[in-house]
Amino acid sequence: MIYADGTPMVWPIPAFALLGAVVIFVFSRWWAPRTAGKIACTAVGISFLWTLVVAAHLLGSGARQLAIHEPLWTWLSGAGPVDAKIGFYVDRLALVFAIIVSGVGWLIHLYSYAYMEGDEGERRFFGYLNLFVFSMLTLVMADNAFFMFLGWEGVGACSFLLIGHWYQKSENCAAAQKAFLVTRLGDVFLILGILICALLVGVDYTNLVGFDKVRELPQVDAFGHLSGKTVLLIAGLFLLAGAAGKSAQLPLQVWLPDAMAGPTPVSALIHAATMVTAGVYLIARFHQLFVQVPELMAAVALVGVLTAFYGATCAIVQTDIKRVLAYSTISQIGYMILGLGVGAFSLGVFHFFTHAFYKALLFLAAGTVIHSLHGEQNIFNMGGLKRFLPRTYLAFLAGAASLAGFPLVTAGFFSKDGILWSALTTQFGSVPIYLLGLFTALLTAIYSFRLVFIVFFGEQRKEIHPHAPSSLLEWPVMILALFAVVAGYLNLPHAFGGGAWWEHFFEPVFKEAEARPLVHDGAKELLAAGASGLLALVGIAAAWKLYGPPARRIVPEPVIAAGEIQNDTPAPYKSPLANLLFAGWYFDRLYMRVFVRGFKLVATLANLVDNVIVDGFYELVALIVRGFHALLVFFQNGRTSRYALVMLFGAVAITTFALMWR
Amino acid sequence: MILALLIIVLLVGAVLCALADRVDRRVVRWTALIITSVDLALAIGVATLVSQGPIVFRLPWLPSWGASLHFEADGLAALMILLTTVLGVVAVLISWEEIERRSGAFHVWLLLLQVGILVVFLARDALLFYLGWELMLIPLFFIIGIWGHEDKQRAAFKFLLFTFGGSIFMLLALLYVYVRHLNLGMGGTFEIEELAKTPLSASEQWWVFLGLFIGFAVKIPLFPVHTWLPDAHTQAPTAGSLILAGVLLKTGVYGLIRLAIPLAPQAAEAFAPLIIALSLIGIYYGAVVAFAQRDFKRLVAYSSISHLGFVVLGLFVGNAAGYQGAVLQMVNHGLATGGLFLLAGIIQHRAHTRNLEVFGGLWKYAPAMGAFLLFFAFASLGIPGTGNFIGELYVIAGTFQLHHTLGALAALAVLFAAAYSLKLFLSTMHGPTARPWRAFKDLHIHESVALGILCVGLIAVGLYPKLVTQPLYFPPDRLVPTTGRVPERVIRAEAARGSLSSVSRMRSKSFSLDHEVVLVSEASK
Repeated sequence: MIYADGTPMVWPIPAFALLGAVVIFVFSRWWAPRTAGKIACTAVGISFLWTLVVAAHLLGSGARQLAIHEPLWTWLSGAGPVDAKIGFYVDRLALVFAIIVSGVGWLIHLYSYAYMEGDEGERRFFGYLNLFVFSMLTLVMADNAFFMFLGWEGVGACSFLLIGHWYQKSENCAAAQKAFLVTRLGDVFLILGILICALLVGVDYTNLVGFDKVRELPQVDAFGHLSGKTVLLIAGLFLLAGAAGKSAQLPLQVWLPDAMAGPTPVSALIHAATMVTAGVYLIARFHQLFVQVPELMAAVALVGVLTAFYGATCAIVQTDIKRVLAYSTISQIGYMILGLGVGAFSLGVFHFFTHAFYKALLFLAAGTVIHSLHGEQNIFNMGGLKRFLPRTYLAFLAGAASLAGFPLVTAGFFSKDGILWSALTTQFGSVPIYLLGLFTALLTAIYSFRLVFIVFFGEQRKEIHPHAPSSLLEWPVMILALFAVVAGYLNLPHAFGGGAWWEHFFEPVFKEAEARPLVHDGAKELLAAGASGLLALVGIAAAWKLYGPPARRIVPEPVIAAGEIQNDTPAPYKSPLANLLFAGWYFDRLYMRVFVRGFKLVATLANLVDNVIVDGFYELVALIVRGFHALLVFFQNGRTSRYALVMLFGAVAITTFALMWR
Repeated sequence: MILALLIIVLLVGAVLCALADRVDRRVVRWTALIITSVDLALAIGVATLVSQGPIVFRLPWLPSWGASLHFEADGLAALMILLTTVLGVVAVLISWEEIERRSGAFHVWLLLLQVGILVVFLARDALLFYLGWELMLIPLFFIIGIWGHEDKQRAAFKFLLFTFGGSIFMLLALLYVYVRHLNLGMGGTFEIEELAKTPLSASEQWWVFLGLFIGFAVKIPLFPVHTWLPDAHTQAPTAGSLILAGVLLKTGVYGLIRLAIPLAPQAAEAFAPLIIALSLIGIYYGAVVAFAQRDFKRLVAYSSISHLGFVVLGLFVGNAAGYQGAVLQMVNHGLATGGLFLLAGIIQHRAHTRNLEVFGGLWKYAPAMGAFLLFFAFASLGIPGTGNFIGELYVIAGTFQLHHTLGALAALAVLFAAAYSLKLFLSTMHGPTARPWRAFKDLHIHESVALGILCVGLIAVGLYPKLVTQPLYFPPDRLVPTTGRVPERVIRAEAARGSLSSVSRMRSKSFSLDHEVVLVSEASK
């Protein structure tokens, strides 16, 4: 699996995951249920190892190679602009994503092996999980946008299947359906965006540099004489819509909180660490397009910061531990998109990198908590778990600290602070965006430690006897916790005496597209970092004040006594504002009433039209024909008496007619 | 000769089935399976031979009228007969247990139905084409009318009246061209190629095209002449639905390609906006109405109307992308919708109902069936990796080239396809179990084989669409429209790459795979 010149082949990375899926789907029905998990873990493990081999080749000492491009066979051809191969392209961007997908994916596979023990659909689960890893690797390693779209839809399908894993509950099916349809709405825009790109420069990633030439065009004839810049703006907005669908950004974010209906490892892998960051990958991959139009970058940044704010406000009042994390994911991806939108592409990707660790960790730790409490997900029914799950507590603490951006010692601090600093100082940034991002950082600290204090501190609120988790549920979490803390030092900024290694690492990918801060002032940078660090500490202190053991009451106070709250309570708070945030600003309700009901109504009406009007027309024709038939039957029934009668009437009629005519 | 064999084998098979009926039901089934398999082998032979040039078979028939038994296979025809014969085998497999009553007669009609379809696909003589066209009606009329479900006779009559009514217009148009050709002193002939040379005025072309179009539109079926389809599909036995959806509807599209457009090319262009509008309406209308259905088969039937809208749209946007997409969609729709109809039949055979509202949770009883339904539902909504994605993408790309807004509209329809496909899957396999299905067995081996064949076909086309698009260039540029606007890329790839001075390409010869190595340029270090 190595070329003659020493370059490792890259197709085996997704191929092993696919092989695992195929073996599980075809053969595992004759094997013990546990075998499926073992196969799945092995398959992804090999994928991960091979990713490391490729990484070693591309990054190892003396490596002069920046990317491996491996076209396999012609896929789409002969149809004008639709021209693509099946092939792989691994540069540093794809490599980072592939490492996270296979690496974090592998840890989550191991965790799932313990978590899903005894589940009815264990084989199916691991088959889907492997298929997901394959699709996701295809998404990030494809060498052109059409092949990427194969992975893009593949992960959507796997997400649908895994959200609906426990298929006998209708609400899981509804959540799965919603996730698929909402993301598919984004996908429609994405494919249109890709088509425009195909017409402009082609979809091979090596061609994307051509966008700067498109911008210069005064008019593009293929697009009704629009200027090159306008066409790029449209294409970019379509891609952004695609990214918003998959990455749960405003206004297509409604599916992600419901997607938590799936098993918790699925939430960790798909709906936190990997799939939902596909939008970040997409924008980073098409950075040559986005940087051409400043308005486009502004749109990206705006979507990012607004979503970050939106997610944080919703997370702060959720009662279900997984929904808190889901809204937090929405918010954190918003930060990533913000980073991309202000031109700090490498930092946006860096936030994806650190987020993958700490959010996967938070989900897995939450899974351990849920698992030990026999499926309890409501945080107000938890409490005091520090004593029962000490290792999980430590890991969760590390994750929450990273999420909150606890200064200097967590990865989340460095990655988020880098984005905020860029939002203030690059040519695409601005002060309002920076301030909103900063305020969101405060909210983030509050809601993440709200979780820690309510779940792990204080008294047990409900009589539940937690049982100790198995070791396989704990050590993948510990590994992730380690990275959640140290991964930040990969990009220690110059102001902190670091070398900003990560940014240099991505220089060959983003080249001049990466917007550099216009301000080069170490003191100011330290000041800004200090501000966001301080806000994180203030947020944690506020959370302690509001939700910690000293707090007498939970603010905002739920209507129903703590411990009694059910997850499906529509409005658990007294304050209407809290209820608004709890319901995700009522986006969901609005979409439900307007689009879902509207579509169902239209469908029913159309069906009625089809049956009554369209088909009715033909029925009417048939009826008229039958009328004539009946008429003729009357005249021609073979009886002499009838003929005589008709003749009589006929004679009378003719005579009358003849007489009157005269 | 091989073309004649394709048809003779089926005719002999029909006789054998009739005889075997006196022995045993099993003998009939095996005879039919062997006959259809032989036919499939012949069709594969045709498909491989056709790359070296068209295969022609010609016998005199009615020399005084200028009609001959002129069969000819080019790439497109080869594809269509391949699809027909594949589905022929599948149809026999799926009727294995389902048809208990008068099995001999059923298989005779099934084989004769394929004869009619093959004649349509192979005929290069207008009269022969018409003969095949009417020959398809009778077997299917009996298949629906005798072996159908609760309301079979009404559905069979509706089917017969609609298609027969349509074909009268078609015959009139053909006869008109024939007479014009004769009167102009060009001799009486039914050769399509000769008829196409008849110089018709614009208004004559208009009427001729209209007549042909009505005939074919009913068969496709296009909105608003589609209402026979849901009834026919719902009432037909599984094999009938399969052949109906899989190939019979395609004969309408094929007729447009072979007859309507060549005989009246200017009128075709004039009609194009109307037809594009009708097919776009059909795409949405079919998809939306499909969502409102409660009957499994009706839902799939309406989805067919939507998919066929894509086919006709691709055909009339008038460029290579659209045309290839249309043909791809014909093949994919045959396989994917065929698969859904098979599953409908399989489920109905076990549950004795098609009502989606009483299903639910069937996955628990029949995971293999669930997996297949999942696959075909996803194929139907156009998931990449299946042929349907490629077909839709090509059609959308072709439409997009013609008009951006129309292209975007066509793309958005895919969302609605997702809505009804997911509904179909979720309400059958997922959700709480609505009834205690005691005797609900998972797939039999012959059912798995039948479904498996369709799956493999869809994935093969999905990953290597050249399987379908390559034959369209046999003979080159005869059918693929070259008049359509095929836009160049605004910025050429080579020009764009020129600025990547650091890219150097290395090909390693010892491996079959190529890979490019992007080196760090000295400048960026």
